[in-house]
Amino acid sequence: MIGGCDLVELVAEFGSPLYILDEHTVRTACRQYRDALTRYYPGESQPIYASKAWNCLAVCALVASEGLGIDVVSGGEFYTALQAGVNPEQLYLHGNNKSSDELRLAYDQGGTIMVDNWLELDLLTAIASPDQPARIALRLTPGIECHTHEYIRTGHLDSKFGFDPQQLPQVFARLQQQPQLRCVGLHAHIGSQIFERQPHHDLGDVLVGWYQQARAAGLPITELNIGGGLGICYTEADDPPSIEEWVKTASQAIATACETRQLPLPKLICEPGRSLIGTAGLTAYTLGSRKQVPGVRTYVAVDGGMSDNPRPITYQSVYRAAIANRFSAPLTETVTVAGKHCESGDIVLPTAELPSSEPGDILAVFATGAYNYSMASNYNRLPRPAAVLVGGGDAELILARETYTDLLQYDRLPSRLQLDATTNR
Amino acid sequence: MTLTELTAQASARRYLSDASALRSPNQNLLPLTATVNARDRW
Repeated sequence: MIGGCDLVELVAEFGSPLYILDEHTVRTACRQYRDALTRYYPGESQPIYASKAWNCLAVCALVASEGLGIDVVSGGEFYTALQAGVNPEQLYLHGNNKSSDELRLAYDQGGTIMVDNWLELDLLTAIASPDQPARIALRLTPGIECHTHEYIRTGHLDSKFGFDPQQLPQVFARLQQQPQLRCVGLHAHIGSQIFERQPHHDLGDVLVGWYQQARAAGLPITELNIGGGLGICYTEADDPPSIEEWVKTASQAIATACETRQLPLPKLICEPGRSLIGTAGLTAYTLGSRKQVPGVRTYVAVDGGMSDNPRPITYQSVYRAAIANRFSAPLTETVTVAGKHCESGDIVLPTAELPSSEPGDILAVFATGAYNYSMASNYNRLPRPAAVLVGGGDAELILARETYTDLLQYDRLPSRLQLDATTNR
Repeated sequence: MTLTELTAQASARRYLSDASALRSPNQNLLPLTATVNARDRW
């Protein structure tokens, strides 16, 4: 049972595969971030949800209702948050290659634009006017290494994101000449799924060093954004710090560095994504075929796979799972859970300890709330699953299941290619 | 007791032992509201 709802009954009602999101867990994580910032940071603060983890109307509205801002990385994510009713002044547009249209959307709506490079400074200078300057923050590459998958490391110097800090004097000089741009903040993000606290402590010190440079250059910086990156438990071997411990580390690093340098406390912003929503989600699949390779392994297949969760094939991510309708049954076999895609690497779980199972059983894969729906595709023309928000014994549809008709909505068949169904010509 | 027998005593219920509202959500494998359905008679 999740949120008072029986997983097997949810699948019976909403179909399979099914994303399930627990409202209480999301709200608890939001409040823990908010409360920890209040407790450990003596200045103004705000957590901002990194919505790339799961961006849809309901999730944006849910998180915003807890007082969080929303970090978006595209015009599409920005538009979704707007349509969810989020105050545009609470939106922060990220991205290393924003288009003019995306910059204009954020500017027109009054969002904050996290400027990543020189081209964006040029584009925004052309878009914004001195009468209504664009509210911006600078993203910088801090040169801090951390232990996580190379695809989700962003703080090392060889990263596609952000300005090289050595260019700061030139960037500051440029901003002094641009009344169209009002730079209020500095930002850095070192990566995702990080279990160490030291990198974020070090990042706080680096950010405050830049803050000091900016103030010396006469820029009205009032916000420091330390990004996100706190890891979650995908397996029982994972041991991330708590939200409170992570916030305490980041808060104290910024506050101490400001005190040492005798600087006023800026507003502290952090951007949790995975740690805010990851373990609030599960995916329910229905078991299908089984293949035994003698002496090697047994494959058990589910009715989804890399299209609804591309993380295993992309990052070799490991998950835990259980048979929802046999949750208390003894674990009697070790199997490999395969997806249904035409791809040998489409493995949901390389190794899963499960009870004996049969076709039709419901497999629940844990901790799929982050980067599953948001990275989902229609590979092999599989419709994306539905998603439900559960709480207090109720389940509400937040994403309808795609249909075959949906899959064809953007297909166009030139008349010269139309076939006669009987002759195929 | 053999390893197989020891393993057979375990069930997915073990994942619930970690789920606690007192812990940070990111430190649990399951959502904070996860429970076992009373009808699960295994």
